[in-house]
Amino acid sequence: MRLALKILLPLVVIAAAVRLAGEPLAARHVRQVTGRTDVGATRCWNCHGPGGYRSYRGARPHPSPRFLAADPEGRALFASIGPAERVARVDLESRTVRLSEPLGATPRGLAVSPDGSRVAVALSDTDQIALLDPREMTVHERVAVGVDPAGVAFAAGGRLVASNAGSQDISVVDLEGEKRETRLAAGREPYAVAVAPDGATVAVVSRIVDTDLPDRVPSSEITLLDPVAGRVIGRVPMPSAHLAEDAAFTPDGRYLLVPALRTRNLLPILQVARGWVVSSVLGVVDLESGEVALLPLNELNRAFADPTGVAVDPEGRWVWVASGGSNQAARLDLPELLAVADGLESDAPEDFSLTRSYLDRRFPTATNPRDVVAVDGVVAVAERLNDSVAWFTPEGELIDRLPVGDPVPLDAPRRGDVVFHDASYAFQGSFSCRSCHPDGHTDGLTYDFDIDGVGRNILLNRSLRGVAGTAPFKWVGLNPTLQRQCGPRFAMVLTRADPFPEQQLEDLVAFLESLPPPRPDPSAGRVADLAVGARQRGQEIFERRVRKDGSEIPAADRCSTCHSGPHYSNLLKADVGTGSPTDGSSEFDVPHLTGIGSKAPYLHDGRARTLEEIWTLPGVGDQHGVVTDLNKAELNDLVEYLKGL
Amino acid sequence: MTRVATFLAGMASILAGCAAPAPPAGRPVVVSLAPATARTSLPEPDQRYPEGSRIALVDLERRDRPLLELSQGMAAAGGAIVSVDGRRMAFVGRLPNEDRFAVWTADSEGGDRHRLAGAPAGAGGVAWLPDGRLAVAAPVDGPPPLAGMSSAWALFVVSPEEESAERVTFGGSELDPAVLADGRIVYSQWLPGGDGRPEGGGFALFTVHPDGTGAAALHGYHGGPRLKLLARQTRGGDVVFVGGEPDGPLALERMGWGRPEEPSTAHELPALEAIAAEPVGSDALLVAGSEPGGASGLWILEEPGDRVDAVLTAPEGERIVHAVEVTARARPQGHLSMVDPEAGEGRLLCIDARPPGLQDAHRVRLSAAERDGTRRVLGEVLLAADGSFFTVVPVDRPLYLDLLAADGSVLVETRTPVWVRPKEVRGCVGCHEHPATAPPNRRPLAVLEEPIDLREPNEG
Amino acid sequence: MMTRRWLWISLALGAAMSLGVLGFRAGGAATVATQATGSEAPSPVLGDPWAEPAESRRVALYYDRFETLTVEDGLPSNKVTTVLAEGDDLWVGTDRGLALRRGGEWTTWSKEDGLGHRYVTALARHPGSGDLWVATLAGLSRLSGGEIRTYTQLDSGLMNDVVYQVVTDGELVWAATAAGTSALDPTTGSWVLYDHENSIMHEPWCYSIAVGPARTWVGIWGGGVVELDRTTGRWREYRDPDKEMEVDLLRDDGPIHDVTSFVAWDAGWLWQATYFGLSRYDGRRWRTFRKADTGLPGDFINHVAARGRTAFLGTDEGFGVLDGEIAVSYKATEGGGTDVTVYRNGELVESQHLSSGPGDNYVLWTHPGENEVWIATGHGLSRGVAATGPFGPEKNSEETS
Repeated sequence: MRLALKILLPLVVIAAAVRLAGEPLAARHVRQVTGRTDVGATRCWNCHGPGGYRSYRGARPHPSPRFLAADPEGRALFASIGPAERVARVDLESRTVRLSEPLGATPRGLAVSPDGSRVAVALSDTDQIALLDPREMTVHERVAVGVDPAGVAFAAGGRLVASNAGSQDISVVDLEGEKRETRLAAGREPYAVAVAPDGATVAVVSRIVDTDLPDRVPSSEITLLDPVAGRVIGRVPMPSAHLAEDAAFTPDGRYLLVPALRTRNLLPILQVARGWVVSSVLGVVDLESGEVALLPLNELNRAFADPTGVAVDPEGRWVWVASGGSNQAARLDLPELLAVADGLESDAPEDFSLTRSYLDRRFPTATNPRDVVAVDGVVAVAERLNDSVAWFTPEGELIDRLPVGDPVPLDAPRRGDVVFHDASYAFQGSFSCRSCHPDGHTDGLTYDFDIDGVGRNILLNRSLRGVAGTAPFKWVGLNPTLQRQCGPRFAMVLTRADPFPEQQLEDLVAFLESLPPPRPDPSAGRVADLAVGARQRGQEIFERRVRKDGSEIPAADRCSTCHSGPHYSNLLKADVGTGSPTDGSSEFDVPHLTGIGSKAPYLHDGRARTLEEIWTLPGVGDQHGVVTDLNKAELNDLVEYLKGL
Repeated sequence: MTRVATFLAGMASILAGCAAPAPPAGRPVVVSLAPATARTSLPEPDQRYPEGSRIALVDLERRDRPLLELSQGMAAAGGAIVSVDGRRMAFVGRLPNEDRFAVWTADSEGGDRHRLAGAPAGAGGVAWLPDGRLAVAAPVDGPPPLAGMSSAWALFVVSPEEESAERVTFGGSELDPAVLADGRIVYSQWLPGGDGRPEGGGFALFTVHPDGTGAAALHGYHGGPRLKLLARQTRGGDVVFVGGEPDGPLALERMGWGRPEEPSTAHELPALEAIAAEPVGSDALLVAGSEPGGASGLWILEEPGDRVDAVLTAPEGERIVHAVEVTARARPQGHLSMVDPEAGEGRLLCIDARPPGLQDAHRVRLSAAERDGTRRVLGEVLLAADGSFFTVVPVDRPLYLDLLAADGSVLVETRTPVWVRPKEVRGCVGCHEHPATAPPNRRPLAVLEEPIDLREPNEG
Repeated sequence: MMTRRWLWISLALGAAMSLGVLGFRAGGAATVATQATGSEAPSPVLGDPWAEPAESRRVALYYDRFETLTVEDGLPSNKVTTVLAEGDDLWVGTDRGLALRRGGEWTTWSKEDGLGHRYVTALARHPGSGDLWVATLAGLSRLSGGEIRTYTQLDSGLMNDVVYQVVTDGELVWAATAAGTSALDPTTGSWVLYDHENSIMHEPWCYSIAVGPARTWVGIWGGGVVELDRTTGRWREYRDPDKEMEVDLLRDDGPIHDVTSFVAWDAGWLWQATYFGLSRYDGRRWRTFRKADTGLPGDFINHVAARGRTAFLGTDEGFGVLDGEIAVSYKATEGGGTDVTVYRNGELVESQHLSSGPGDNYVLWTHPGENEVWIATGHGLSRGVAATGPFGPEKNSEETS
């Protein structure tokens, strides 16, 4: 006993001393090194943590289907089971499920070839399309495409079209020829791919709005292409509408239907009623005229949160749209819909009283319905957070529901995933977290909350990917924990309903902390064979301690001082001269730079549309790192380096 | 150990007894009965629940049992409503020595009856909020809206725990609160004549958050029957109410959520004069009324046009004027309030004050109503180029906004007031926007400047 | 006896070589430098055999009829700066925006439509994506699917907003700007930048770019021509050895001048246009051409287009075609006609007067096609129709290699 005390007691004393003295000593060290006088307490880890990719422990992989495709004869459905890295074949007749071999990557959008002989699946981590044998469910070929493909489709002329969400472009591959790949520029985060009935026109819908000045009305792009010629034939903007994840042509090929959110980010958020924050629409694109009409899916006082999948019946009578946030689907009368769309101005705000003209009925689904396909008298829905695929009669009566894998017990991140996508926590079920943070990322828009002054403190929405370990939260660094960030004040200011109950709040935080940062674009910095060394030079600039003339840069002004540690942020506040007259403070929480390449626009109010503009906008000078002695080529090196973080 | 166990058992039983009993089995309904001779459609409690009115509990599945009187000892009582969890009820009642009604609460079997402390005197209608507070309509200073009524009315929110009441509406007269699934209170708002309403004014259905913020028209702003009372939301989401003229019979009307500005549809009851309706079952209505020339009773209506028999007939000499099922229901959404009673100001932001087609709108004149009903001009604010304006306004009083041309002539005179709660930033799309239209997505130019302070009258 | 003959022959050859009569030169024609290692080895023949066109490009030297499009026909301006003919589509850059004539209808784009600036300097079609890149005086614009997106020096890796030319090598988009050269990879969105601080360039004022299968050449105002081998990353520089701004002291000694106005490459030959004449480089030898010794329309050459081994010149004094020994000049005359002169090896062999002519003698761009040539002038866009009359098809075919 005495021996134990002799060992334990000194250890306890040492530990206590370290604990008591550690933080003040660390703060003193930071003050000496950086010259800052406002640092009261900090941790070694903030600046000196190990670099490289941290591991983000996600939920146990659930067999969660998100994307669906049907074989042309309507006998089977194929579902992408992202976390399980497999595709499931659901036989509608025998009511059985067969899983593919492991794909080695996360599958996303999928399509069945017109002759039913192949299933193409987009693999997001490996930047490929896998072609599967639909019977054996084995991979017989992989085709390289751009970065992070989200959608895929078979088009005329033996063409395979893939939307590359990570490289902002579209790959068109001639599968039956030399497998040459044509790349066509798209909008931001091209996502859904739809093929006209004759295969000769393909539409790709980009999920996020094109980056623009914060005060401009945003729009996301629908890219129309001729797959055989490999050419873009049109770019159609959807004004103030975004987060579209699916699209469908009408059987005559004249119209494209795109469910989307209409977000009023330019209006101060004073209320949620009447679609003041966000409402759901069905975009109707007339391909002959190029006009877009945005028809409400909301009814007054009855929301239709997070519209996701859309399907059209082959006879052209009905349209089905799923509401991912409210666990329901709606059936719309297509002829009535088109009659209302005719003559509607594209930027006209929605008249919710119109919805009843074409809304035939709503019917319930299980949790988080995403993709919808209509085939042979059946409407199938991927119920992602229920780990099932269900199919319904055209009137919405459930025929059957099958789990697509073995059940996995729920854990906190998975329960949090459910909370994240559930719109019932907002007033009238109007929106969920996903409505501004698709897949936990950002929608690239700025917002004006009334709590900090209407017309003041207009702030950029930030990505939640990789937030774990980057406390404090908010641009002004007000909230020390995610629980506080998503707590009662959030309910008062944004959702305008009850705050999350305690268990749901903890689960939500567990989910957010499980999200890894966006994968840096592997092709960033590559200019054929020419830009060798650009990122290395950029890193040297980022870490430099002296100017080009040899004079020393004070520690407080070096990039690597504030943007240090595993997240490239010292988690403190800094004033880099970006405050504007409408901001309450010009000191902001140093943003973490992991995945920064995909987080445009930049700075707290989104005024920098590109990384260059962080330093090229007027008045910046040397307030945000010392850059005025750099020339344009050196600035470019710095930008290429940042894109790769 | 035995002593501990005994102690624990004793505590358990005491605690169990303290808990309000669960709603009784069967199909319990609280009915309001009034003397058969008294007939009026006016909404004040003296008129709805005249002397001799009472409330009683009946089990619709055991109608052979006698009614259990819940308001014994009271001169008049009626209008019971049930809490969200089904464990308590509230109603308005008057003791023999009182001349004003008060709010009373009881458990689901009528026991533990006590006055709601803190409620304003003279309560007319009650609604139960999901957080346990109650919305109460009570008389306030001001002219009565209709001949035959005795005072103006407003809504208050009463906290039983804190025994306090806060007035939350200030528009003239507000009555008959009920709580919607989205947590807002739907109520009857008195509006002066004009804008399609009959000369002399009429009621419209409005909604407001429990803290009095965001009051907005729901139905009937531009016409319909003069009386629109006792609005309730069915389980399916529609809103029903009773409508009619002050001296005529009332009918049950249904307003869908799809087209609120369309005239409401009569419920096509088989010639039933409906006095009140409450939601029941999965999507049915429990209607108190009478067949023309026939007896008074209760009907359960599943669909419009149903032809069903009465589930209950009123006792001889009495009429059933209201009934509500004693059961739990889905919890409406809550609402965290930003209102700060200490703040002496609120803000009003209008996105576009220019009515369509009116190009020469130049500025807006703001007036406030004093307690004696007179109006005082507070000042004027110029419209920005996009028609927006942003002002600081006094709180908790009726405000009137008139649209002026450059030469000062009045283009649009607003006869219906708005009010702003302390620290509220009240947004509106425009003066005469269609209530079913979402606002456009653009930053109002007026927010780029500091709001114009109109709390005190401008000099000159 | 045989030995003495051979001795005389070799002496004569040696003398001839030193006098440069035969045009051979040992030891390289110009100052050659590399960026990395400083080796002085001459560059290999630019025209690698595999770079030769598969079939001979048929191009006419003689044009006997001209038609001119002006604002009256739908052009946004009469000052035409660049032209790109693609089948029946006619893309025209002017000082007041971009125009397309398709099916007889005109569509125009200007700053209001998102174009960087109304002054368009060059056009380039990216073969992979089909996008049209438009160089303007305030940024580089991309027209794709009917929509314009503009890149500027402030919001992208574009070196400078004053973009004098844009070309594509099939993969990358190269922009010559007033402060250097940028190359963009459209599939990665990344840029690489070259100026006088990080490459062999002496000046950053990049006026023109030409690309071959493996190399890129940049014509620099005051800096001659620089060459980048894209596969190795090595640079070479070609400067006027005279270092004389006003006079070409020696013929064929290198680039005729350091102030390069334009560069073009095709079929193994690099052409350099200057305000003091024309140069040509085949990887070993430079040839220089001036009005006085060759019969060019003028020495102030704004533009050169290469088609096979034929050069089309846009000068301040008219438009001309140079093919081997033949130089044909076309000068518009008062009244709408043209004076045509044909020189062979510097000797006038024919002259003619045509009744129609190009809109103006101030020529900023030419685009030779099959049996026609488009000429961007200061007074409209002219089309020259290949001669079938007095010059004759035989004449056109016999002179074309």
